[in-house]
Amino acid sequence: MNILRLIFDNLRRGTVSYPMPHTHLCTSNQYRGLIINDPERCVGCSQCAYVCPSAAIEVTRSGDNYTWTYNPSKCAFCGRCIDRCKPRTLTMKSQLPPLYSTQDELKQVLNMVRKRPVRPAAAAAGTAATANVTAPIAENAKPAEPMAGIPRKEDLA
Amino acid sequence: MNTSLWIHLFLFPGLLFAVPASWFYVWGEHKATARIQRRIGPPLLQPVYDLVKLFGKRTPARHGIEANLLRLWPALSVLSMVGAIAMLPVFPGGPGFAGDAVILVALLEIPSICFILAGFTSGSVFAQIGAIREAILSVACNVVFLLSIVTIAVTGRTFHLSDLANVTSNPGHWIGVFGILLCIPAKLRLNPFSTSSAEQEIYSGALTEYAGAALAMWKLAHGLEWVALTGFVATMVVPAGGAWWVHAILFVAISFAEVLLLSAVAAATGRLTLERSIRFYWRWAAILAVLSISASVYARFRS
Repeated sequence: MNILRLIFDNLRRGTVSYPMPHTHLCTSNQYRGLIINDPERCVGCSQCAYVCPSAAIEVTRSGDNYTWTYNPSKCAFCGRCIDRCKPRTLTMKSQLPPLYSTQDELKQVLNMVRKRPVRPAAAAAGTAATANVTAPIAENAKPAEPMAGIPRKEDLA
Repeated sequence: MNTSLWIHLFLFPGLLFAVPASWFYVWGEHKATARIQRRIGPPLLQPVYDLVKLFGKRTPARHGIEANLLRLWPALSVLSMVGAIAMLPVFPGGPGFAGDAVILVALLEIPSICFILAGFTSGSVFAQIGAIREAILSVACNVVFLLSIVTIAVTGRTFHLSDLANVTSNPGHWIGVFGILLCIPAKLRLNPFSTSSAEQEIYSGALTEYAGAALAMWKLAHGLEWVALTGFVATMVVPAGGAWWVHAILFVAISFAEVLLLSAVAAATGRLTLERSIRFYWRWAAILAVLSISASVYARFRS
């Protein structure tokens, strides 16, 4: 008769699951949610795209400009991009992702300009190298200078 | 075809009632199971969503006779179940004929036979194992099922469903109803007799290779099986007399109560092995059935 007691206890105590999506669930700080990119710090190294196992992150270049694209519908939330990101640009939200009905609904597209690498000597001399850290193109339409030491395509031609 | 037969076949308890009722009963099963497991369970329209989703799916193309047969078995199951439900004596003095109980039993067996044939048609090893299990279990539980129906028939001295539905105070009638109730979990492939459709072991058995519209038809057939089998027991226990709407309400209420009871049993029990399931039916349930039919036959010849 233990099983009957268990059934009645379960019915009496109510449910332990939540009616999704109407309930906002609390998540822990370690919860792996959506990836957030900080455009102020992103240098466009595309390491995140390189290590992404599900091709959720893509980085496409056009000269000094690059487009960082993140598609949560493909994301496995493994966090490998976070681990690989040297400038600590990428973070993960600790909330549940919102519901979406189409694949590209939550897609994030950031158009940015590649930043100059900060050289220790230049930094010490107080040059304006760091001053060129740019926001997305929409905010700063001024084209950035080419990266030091890396020839442009047109120069090679 | 007279009007009463039309109403039984297409309105109540036929197609127009049976299909929504099958969704409602399947929802009731899922909801009751969820509540017992302390989950919320699906919304009321979940079976409809599932059906629509399955009908909208594109499935891998099969060719030849095999493709046609795989579509035929679930369709045949649905048709036989609609026919069986239409034959249920929900209202007193409904359409029927002498010996219609035999036809009803035959119609109730068709989904099980189709399930077995579907398993062998698909060619999957898992499906064939499921089909073999279903065949063995079907033989075991049908002994009790048939003996129980014969017990009720001997008690009522007829094989006419409308007459059988007149509940008597004879204990043989109630033992027969109890015997039918014992067989329903095996016929619906519910726990603890769900070995033929074990999801974790043989990937739902005979339905392993099914997808899309054909699987939706199987789901529909399964829901209609719920309506037919629980409805059959309900008609056997609804007292005679009273208005037609009282009969209709009691029919639905008792059927749904059976759904909840069987779901609770299914949620509270684990899956028995095939050997144990057969042992249950061949030993305990069959002994009960033989004793009840013996008592009924004795009582009949004595009176």
